[in-house]
Amino acid sequence: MQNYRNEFPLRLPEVVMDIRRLGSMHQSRMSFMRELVRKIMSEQWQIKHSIFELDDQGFGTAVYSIDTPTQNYSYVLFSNYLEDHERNDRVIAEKWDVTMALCIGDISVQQLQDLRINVPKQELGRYASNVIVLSRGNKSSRNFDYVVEQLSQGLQPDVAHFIDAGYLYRTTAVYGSGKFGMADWYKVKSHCVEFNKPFSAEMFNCFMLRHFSLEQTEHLAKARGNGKSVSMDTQIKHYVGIGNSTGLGMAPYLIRHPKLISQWVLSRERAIASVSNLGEVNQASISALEALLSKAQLHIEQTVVPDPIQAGTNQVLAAELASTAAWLGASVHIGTNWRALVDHVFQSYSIETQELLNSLLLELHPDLCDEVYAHVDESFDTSPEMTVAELRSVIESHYQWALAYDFSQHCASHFFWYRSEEKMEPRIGQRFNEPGVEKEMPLVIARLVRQCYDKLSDFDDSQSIAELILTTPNLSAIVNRIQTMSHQCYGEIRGNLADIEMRPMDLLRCKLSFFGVSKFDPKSKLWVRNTMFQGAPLVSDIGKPFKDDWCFPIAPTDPSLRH
Amino acid sequence: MHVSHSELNRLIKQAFEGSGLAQGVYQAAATSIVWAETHGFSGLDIFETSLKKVDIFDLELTLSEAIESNAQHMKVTSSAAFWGRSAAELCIAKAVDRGEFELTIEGGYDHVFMLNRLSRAADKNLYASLTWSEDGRLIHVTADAGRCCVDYCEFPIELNQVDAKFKVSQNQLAPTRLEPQTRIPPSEIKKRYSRSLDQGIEMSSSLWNTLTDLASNVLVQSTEQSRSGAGD
Repeated sequence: MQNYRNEFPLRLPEVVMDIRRLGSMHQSRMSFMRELVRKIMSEQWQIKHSIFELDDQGFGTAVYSIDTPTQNYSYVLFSNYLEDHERNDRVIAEKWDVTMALCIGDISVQQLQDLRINVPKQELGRYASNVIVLSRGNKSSRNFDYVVEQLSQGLQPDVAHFIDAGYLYRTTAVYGSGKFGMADWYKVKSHCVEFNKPFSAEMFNCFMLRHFSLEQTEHLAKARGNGKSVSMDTQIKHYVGIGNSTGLGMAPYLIRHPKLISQWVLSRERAIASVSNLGEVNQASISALEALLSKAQLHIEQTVVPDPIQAGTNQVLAAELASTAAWLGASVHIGTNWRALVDHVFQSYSIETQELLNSLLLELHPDLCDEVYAHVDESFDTSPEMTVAELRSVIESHYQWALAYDFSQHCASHFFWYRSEEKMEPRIGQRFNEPGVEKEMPLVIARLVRQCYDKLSDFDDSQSIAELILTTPNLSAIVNRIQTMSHQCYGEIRGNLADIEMRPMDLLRCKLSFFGVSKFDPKSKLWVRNTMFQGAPLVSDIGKPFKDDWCFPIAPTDPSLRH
Repeated sequence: MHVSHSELNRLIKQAFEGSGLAQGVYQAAATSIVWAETHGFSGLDIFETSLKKVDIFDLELTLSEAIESNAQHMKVTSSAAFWGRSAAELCIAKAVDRGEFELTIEGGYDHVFMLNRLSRAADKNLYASLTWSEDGRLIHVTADAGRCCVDYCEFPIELNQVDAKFKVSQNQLAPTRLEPQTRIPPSEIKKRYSRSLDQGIEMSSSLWNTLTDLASNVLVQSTEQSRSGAGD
């Protein structure tokens, strides 16, 4: 299977890693959520609640037992009363409607008590080393009470509500990887084969919140319905996802884990290259792609966003998908693989459409996608013996993009990134008129490279990097990074994160697309709402035949579900 | 209190950053301390004691005091802990170039924080040893090329002041002829690491509070204007 991997040229890093293109990526079958759902369905995980002690207001405790082929886990959730004015999706919030933890193994009465004390405190709590994810969520003010009311009266909710906001709850933070005393990532990777891929435990946490949200609304409807209540229609249940709010906190991750990002992008690019060149074009595959284009177009048209820029982008995208389908139907020169189509879309349409087409082509050819995201050693492999002349050459060949910025211009240094004293929330400030610049986080890689490059002229070409670092230790981090990343195909984001035109949204969107979210709904250029697991199988579907086609979900078309 | 490896690493990095150290320096210092703790060498206890001793954050001044150098040997002076990272990198570079190189360190303390540099040399397919004296013992730690863990030996000595030596070679180093009083083989050190990863790390609340205070120096005061920088 791997023989084809390097047969076809990959897209260049200056194309793929351009920050605007990264901000135009879409979910694909290689996204983490998709992989997780395939695993749950193929291994037939057993998920059932062992405790479901909610009162008639829906407050209380739920514990779910998750049995996989090799391990069992406990998903513990606390549902508490929250005043409407206390509901805040920002990191700095201090109370939430629900708080949750995913733990390795069964939990004892004592640990449940410990979790009950700590989990609602979130970042202020402390957790045992068998806790692998900590999270919280807030109800959708648009949907939750409405759905409970409808079901309690024996009515189905109007699907249109879920077109506007496709969820009952939004997660507002999901923590893993050793935060607050929890299990380290290396422990999860080695002990929990179910969750040994990046963010799979975090994604599962969101999948479980979706399941709880459906169970809780039916519980409440039953409690209020005086015997009149009904269960939610299964088609609607499938269309209910879980909301998510993501802010700047996600952006530094992309800068701090360049080898991991390189691996993610490389896996995707290899798959795209293979599918473009090897994906067989015949009447059946053309029909399948036409169906996918049509579905994606409808999905985009059903993505309701108030942000005028995103709404405009979506309009263009939907129109270009239609044009792509028309070109496909009319083309007599399509050839035997997808290369002609990919080239046509690249030359004719927006970046959004180009990247969405890539995602759709991956859907057609699962057999040509890489085994998703191999493990990465994220340590930096430095070469102290490298000479100054060699390092200069490496910068000139691999970081020309960084040297192209003129940091003497104010607009190129407009922003700085810092951590606020409020829960260490990452924020950006304006360098020339806000305090705190002396505490800037080292995220502007282009500028650090420029500073390093300029400093090299103080040294003899023949001196070793070790000697340079010995006398100029503040260069050691960027030198290590340059040396390491010069061996990676992708990983460095081609953009100046201090520039006045910089849009953090692009970074968030890139990472979220790898997660597999849909329906990007930017609330500013600094944070975005989106939807996870909309269209995904339900827990009750586990064990039934599964077709991995839940991407780009569209609203149920049954007229009885539209009011 | 109970902490994870990554949490400890992050906290120490921020504490050093909050103390004014540069990125690469605080990353290396945090890695050294966490390595020593998670491999069973009491890294946190030693670190907590060091924090009370002297201004350990002056390490970079000490690092640049190379006083003598020749083809295969270099001597540096140190008055503080954590001196090892840059000097060890230089030693590795010279060994790659010349086959073997030895660094002698006059003064300094807490050489345990240099142990992870042995693994670093081994990762580069080199052989390495670190020797120092402490409390009437001679401590000799080696790492073989390509091996992920070190071999730790202690010998009784009469002379209490022996300069520390860090040696890196492309060839296997000659074994010591003495029988060690204490030996911790690589397999045991590896087990200690696995146990620590599985169960987490216990650290004192006082050290946690000290580091948290230092780390708070990296945080910027929150204002209405700054809240807008997070999307409000």
